Amino acid sequence: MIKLVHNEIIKLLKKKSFYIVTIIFILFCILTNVVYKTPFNNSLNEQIDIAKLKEQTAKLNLDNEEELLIYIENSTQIELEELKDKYTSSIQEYLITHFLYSDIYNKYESKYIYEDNDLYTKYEQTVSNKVNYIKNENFKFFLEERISYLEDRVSKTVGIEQVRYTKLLEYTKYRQKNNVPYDYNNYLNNSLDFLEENIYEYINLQNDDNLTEDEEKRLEYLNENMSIHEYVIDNQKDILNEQTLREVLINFSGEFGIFILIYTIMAAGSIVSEEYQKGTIKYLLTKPHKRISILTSKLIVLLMLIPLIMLFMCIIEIIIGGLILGYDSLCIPVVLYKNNLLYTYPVITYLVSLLVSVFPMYLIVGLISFMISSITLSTSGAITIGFLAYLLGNIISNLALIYKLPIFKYFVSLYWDFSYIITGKTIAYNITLPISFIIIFLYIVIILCITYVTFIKKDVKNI
Amino acid sequence: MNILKVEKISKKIGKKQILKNISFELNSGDILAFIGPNGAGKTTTIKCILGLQKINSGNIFINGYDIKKDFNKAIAKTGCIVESPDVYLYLSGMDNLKIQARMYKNVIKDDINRVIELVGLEKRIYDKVSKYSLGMKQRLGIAISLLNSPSLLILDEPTNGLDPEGIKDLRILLKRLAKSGVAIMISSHNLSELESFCNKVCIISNGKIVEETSISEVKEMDENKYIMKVNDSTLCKGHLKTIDKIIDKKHIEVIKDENEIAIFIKELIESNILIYEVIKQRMTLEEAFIKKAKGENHDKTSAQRNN
Repeated sequence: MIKLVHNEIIKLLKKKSFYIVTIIFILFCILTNVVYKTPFNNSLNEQIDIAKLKEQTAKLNLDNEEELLIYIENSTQIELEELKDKYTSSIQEYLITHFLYSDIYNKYESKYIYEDNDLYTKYEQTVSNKVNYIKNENFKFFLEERISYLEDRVSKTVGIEQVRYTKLLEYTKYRQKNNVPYDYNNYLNNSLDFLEENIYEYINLQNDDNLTEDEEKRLEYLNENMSIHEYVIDNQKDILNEQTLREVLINFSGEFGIFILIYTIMAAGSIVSEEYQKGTIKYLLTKPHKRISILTSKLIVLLMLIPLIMLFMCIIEIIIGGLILGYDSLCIPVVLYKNNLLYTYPVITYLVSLLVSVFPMYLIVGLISFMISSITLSTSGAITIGFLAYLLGNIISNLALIYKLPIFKYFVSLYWDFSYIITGKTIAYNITLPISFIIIFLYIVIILCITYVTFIKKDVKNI
Repeated sequence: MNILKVEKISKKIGKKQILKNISFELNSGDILAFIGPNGAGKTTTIKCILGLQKINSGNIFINGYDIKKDFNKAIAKTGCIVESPDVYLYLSGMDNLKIQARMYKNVIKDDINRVIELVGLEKRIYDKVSKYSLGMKQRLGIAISLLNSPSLLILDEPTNGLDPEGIKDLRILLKRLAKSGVAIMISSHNLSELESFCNKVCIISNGKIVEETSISEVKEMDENKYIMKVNDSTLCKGHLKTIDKIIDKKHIEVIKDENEIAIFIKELIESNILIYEVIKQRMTLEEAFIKKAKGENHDKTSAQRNN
């Protein structure tokens, strides 16, 4: 049997198609990693066209009260944008956006509404001073100012308001203690930002007993994301950085799963039928081995191929991804939010678990191709039906999430993907592990019975 | 020693009876010419012997082992080429041999080198088979069939694609193998190629064995035709029977048995006719086969007429 398996491996490894798919995979791998490396502008703020805004502002009638307010708003915006054009570092941009608006607005308000020159001069001076700090990227000034403001609010508020300000003060003091700059490019800053922005709504929703459906969904979202951002600042791990090898590996199944499928179906769909098509079956079956052993050797190679291909693809991705994105991120754990709790896994453990959890899916699709290949002796037919089985299986799984028809329960595709155990994603019905195993086992037994009986009984027809 | 015994095998595909009660035997050292027109059932018979197709009834024994019960033992000492030498084109000749060798228990590297040398493929053995000519593929096929030092060698149209030199080499090789005790079964359309070295012939037509006999017996169906070269053929006219004829000025064709020809020669000499040459025309296997087939048809027509 070992010698038969050895032969099958050689036949498989020496096929041109194997190398063609591998080259395509490597190119795809490079491309995927480059895409991950390329930063995308996730800023939701629309770029403001200053020239257009200035033109609109110039046309406003300052005697009209409403237009005067728009004039003040626009002037503030224009000044902010001009400052951003002048001071372009990520720290400067952050400080301009977050700490200058009210002073500039007050400045214009005192000039055009209150028509108070002293007040105007005072605000102008304040703005000028702050711009100086911004120029020097001195974020600590703003930090201290915010701490004193928040301390003041904590002392002057009660109830939920006080809880909120206490929390905000806590975040700001964390920033001070850990010297976290106000900087868009700093992951701790971004997490603190998320926490600061959402804490008010979060506390409110937590204390509200009559939540609407939308509010409950929002609370669920905040529960998950607040926990994740808390994890980031507590552990100081940049788990949300998407431009890393770690992120590519987390999404490995999704990004490269199609190649596992191609390798599997390509091998399974041709391993028997090609021998018949090329006539080599005649040499194979006229050797002192039972047909059952010959088919089993092919089956063993298939069973070995899937995990080996997964391993091979992971190694290639880690090498290519590491060269493009660096290896540093591999020591940052994968953090998942499941059932109101955070779970952490080392990246490689997570990747291996995920691949093991989807193994039954590739195995069954491969076995379907293997069966069709043995029955029809048509490689193209076996490959096509293999892909269709995969697609149809996924469609049925998705349909089962929407329409819980009893008939769907008999399809193996509902059970062949165990990744929900790791990722905690929703699945149709309340599937238990023993039922999943039993159904997968039954499918495998039926497929193999049909394959073996057909192969053993089949005559080698004359050309 | 009996190597192959085919006992009343029948094969049906759908409603069509492909083989009807086929029986023949092959002993150690025999070279059997398995002859028949296209669609007669030659390849099906070979495939049934090798277990590639199931038989509906009958038995096949190779080296005394029933292929239904002891397939592995029966096939272990059998080498074959069926239809054409279909090997893995994307592998080299050497890789193909290694793959085939691995499927036997006791075939070692020396056996591989031995068969490569036997078929004369040393120079191209590391080339991919896709670059081989048909003749080279045929040689590789023969090498594969000899890997396990078989006691039974079944070759389906082995001369296809071989040049005259290759056919000559194959003939020498097969004769040598037969001498060493290998039983060989060859199916071929080219009867004249086989007659010079086969000792048995099996003629199959419409799934039935028409004749199973030794080559010498086939030759006995000879018509005792003699060509004689004389000084003037017209002088012989009075001595010729209706079945005899004058070929040209110096040659005549007569049909006589051994005694008759001796008397005929004496008569001519007594009539002062000079005889330069007397050649017995041997019938080729092909002519014997055509004659046999014609005889079968004739018998059939007579039987139909009588009915």
